[in-house]
Amino acid sequence: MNDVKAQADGIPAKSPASSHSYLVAAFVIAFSVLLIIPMWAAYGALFPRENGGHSHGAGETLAAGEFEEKTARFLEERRLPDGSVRAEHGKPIYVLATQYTFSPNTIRLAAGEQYDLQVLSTDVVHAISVQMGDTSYNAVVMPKMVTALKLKPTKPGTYLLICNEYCGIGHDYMFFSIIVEEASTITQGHEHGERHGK
Amino acid sequence: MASDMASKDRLSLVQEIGKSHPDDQKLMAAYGIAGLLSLVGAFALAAILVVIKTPAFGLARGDLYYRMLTGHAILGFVYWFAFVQAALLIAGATALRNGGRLWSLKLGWLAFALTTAGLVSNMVGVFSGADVLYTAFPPLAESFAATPLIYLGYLFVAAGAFLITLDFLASVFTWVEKKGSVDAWQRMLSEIHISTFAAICAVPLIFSIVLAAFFLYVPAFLGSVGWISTEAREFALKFRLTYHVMFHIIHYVPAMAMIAVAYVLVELTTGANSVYRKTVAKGLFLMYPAVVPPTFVYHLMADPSITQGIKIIGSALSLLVWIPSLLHMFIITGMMEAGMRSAGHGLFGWIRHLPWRNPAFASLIMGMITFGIAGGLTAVLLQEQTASLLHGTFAVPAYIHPMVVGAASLIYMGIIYYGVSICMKRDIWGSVIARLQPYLLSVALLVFAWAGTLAGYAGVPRRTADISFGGRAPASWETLMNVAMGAGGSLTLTAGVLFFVVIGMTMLAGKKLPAASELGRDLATLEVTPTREFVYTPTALIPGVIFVLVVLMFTAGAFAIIGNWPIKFG
Repeated sequence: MNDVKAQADGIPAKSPASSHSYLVAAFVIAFSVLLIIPMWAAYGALFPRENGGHSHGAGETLAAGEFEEKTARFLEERRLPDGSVRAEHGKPIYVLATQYTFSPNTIRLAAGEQYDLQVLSTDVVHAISVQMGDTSYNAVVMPKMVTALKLKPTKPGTYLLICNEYCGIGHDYMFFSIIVEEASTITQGHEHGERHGK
Repeated sequence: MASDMASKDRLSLVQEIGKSHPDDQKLMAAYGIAGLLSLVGAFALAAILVVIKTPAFGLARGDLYYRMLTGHAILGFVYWFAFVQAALLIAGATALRNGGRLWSLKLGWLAFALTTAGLVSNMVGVFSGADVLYTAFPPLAESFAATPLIYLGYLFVAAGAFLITLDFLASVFTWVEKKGSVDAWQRMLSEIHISTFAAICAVPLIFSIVLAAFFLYVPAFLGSVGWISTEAREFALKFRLTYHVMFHIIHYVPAMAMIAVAYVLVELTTGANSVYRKTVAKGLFLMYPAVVPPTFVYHLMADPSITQGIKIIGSALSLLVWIPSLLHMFIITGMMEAGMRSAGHGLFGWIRHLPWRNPAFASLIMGMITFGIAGGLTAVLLQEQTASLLHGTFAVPAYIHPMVVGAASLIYMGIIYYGVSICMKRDIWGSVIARLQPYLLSVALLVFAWAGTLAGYAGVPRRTADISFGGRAPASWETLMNVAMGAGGSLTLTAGVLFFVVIGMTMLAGKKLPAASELGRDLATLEVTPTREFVYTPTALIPGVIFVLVVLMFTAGAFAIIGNWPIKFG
């Protein structure tokens, strides 16, 4: 009776192969999520990382004291009268994360230049979230391990960098800025600083 | 003939749930009620979080926010799941095993007492000032005096989970008379319900979690009370890595349990039987213990502690964890499709005839839809090249909440409707509210997910009470968070309250049913009169195709955003 009705609908009676073929199709569909893997290579070629990239660092461990010394030297050498620091292309930028501040607090970069940013925490786990208008870049900052990033700003402006890993009650107030300037502005700034005895 | 068999199976499933031993039922009910109370607590604290995190209210307060967030996550993610999943394990060992008994009732109650002790310890810790979030990472956590109570609570709940799982496993052993006979084991494993088999597959994952928890929290507890000295930073690095292994595996216990419950619900609500070999569904559950543990790396994609090569391997493996869930969703949808189309409905016409007014079915179907959407939202986060776009942003809670509340918890709510009705022999109180509640909960969480994901893409940090940053934050953040928390959060709370009211009132004032094997009008299994044998399931393939296309589009979209960043990162 059922077979007659099924044949009237143009559908053959139940056979083991009929449900099996849909199951096979479901397996093919499910495994096709692996198509993401060739996309990595395709998009990697389209948007290559600067110098290949290290993906947040290579697990380099460093004592907090040693990093604090490097940061202090960096601040001393590169501090401007307004308290900000001007990074030098090709040399590391050291940023120390401590509950609830980043040091230095404002960093000036030149558009079109590439920099090496190194960040380390002296106490608990933090993170840096580089805010770029409607999007952000995020990396974890750990005690005793350097977070190393290569960055190349292309658009002048002021960028907010916030801690986005809960680090204690003052977490909401832990942020700093990067100011990206045109290369010509920087040259003028240097001349202005020199006139004031810097 | 086949339909008669199906009807008999459905009847027996309801009967078995209702006729499990009263002592086992009491333990199951204790776990269920403790779980529901934990969920009530999680929702109550979520109400405070909604007020704090909705910028329009202007009440951002860091001191209160971090404490409430700690309590909310511990209640919702640890205790609601620990209790309700223990109840499901007992159901798997008894109700779904022909009225079988739990191996040791005393052990079950000891496990319950330990889990409850963990809950008490954790809540005392939180409200004594341990603002450590549920992660409780050292050395941050060590700066809060009440932190030892958090670690101690976690040790108690781990011990409770270990004992109830051991009890379940011992019950499974009693099902085979000749323990040395491979045939006897094979026969038992092929006879047991898919959901019980899923519970067996979850055992290695649960034991791994318990082992990792002791490895983490014993030294953390001893260090936090000053009984041993730990080099804080060295310990923090080790803790973080082991924590993420444990935390990652924890995610997949609700995922497996949710799918196991979905198999029960699809039978109870639609009367459907599988048209595929049951060994396929059972085999897919075996994929989880094999695939899940090595994929913990995707939580550490923005860490400096993991090399790029490991992250790439982790990304590739992470794609595999989608596969068993996708295939289970296909099988469950296929069961519905084949069952409904056997009544003569057309290619898409069968969907209209599903029991949409049954609250348990609505919980099942909306839970499955939300599970698919939330799964798609994880795509960018688990790939090495794209994770930095969203790591630590609000996009994380924007997918986690639909996943654990809109999918797992909603599907658990579906079985709780049956559990309460069958065990208490009462019809569901407030039919209209019960019918609406699953839809409201999932729609609310999808609003939360939509606006929250956009907020994450815009850079809103995940765990920050005040997102204004002294007026420096982008203007879009406020609007997106008002929609995510203000609208999505408030609607989610409303749906949660409706569920608690319906369940509470059903227990107290639901109309008495004549027998445990009978169901009220709202939960009655759909009557399908088969007119033909039907085993084709083309419609069930569609959600999988959509899922794959969506994750490919999300990945391409992430690459497009990264390619246009005004600062290039390497």
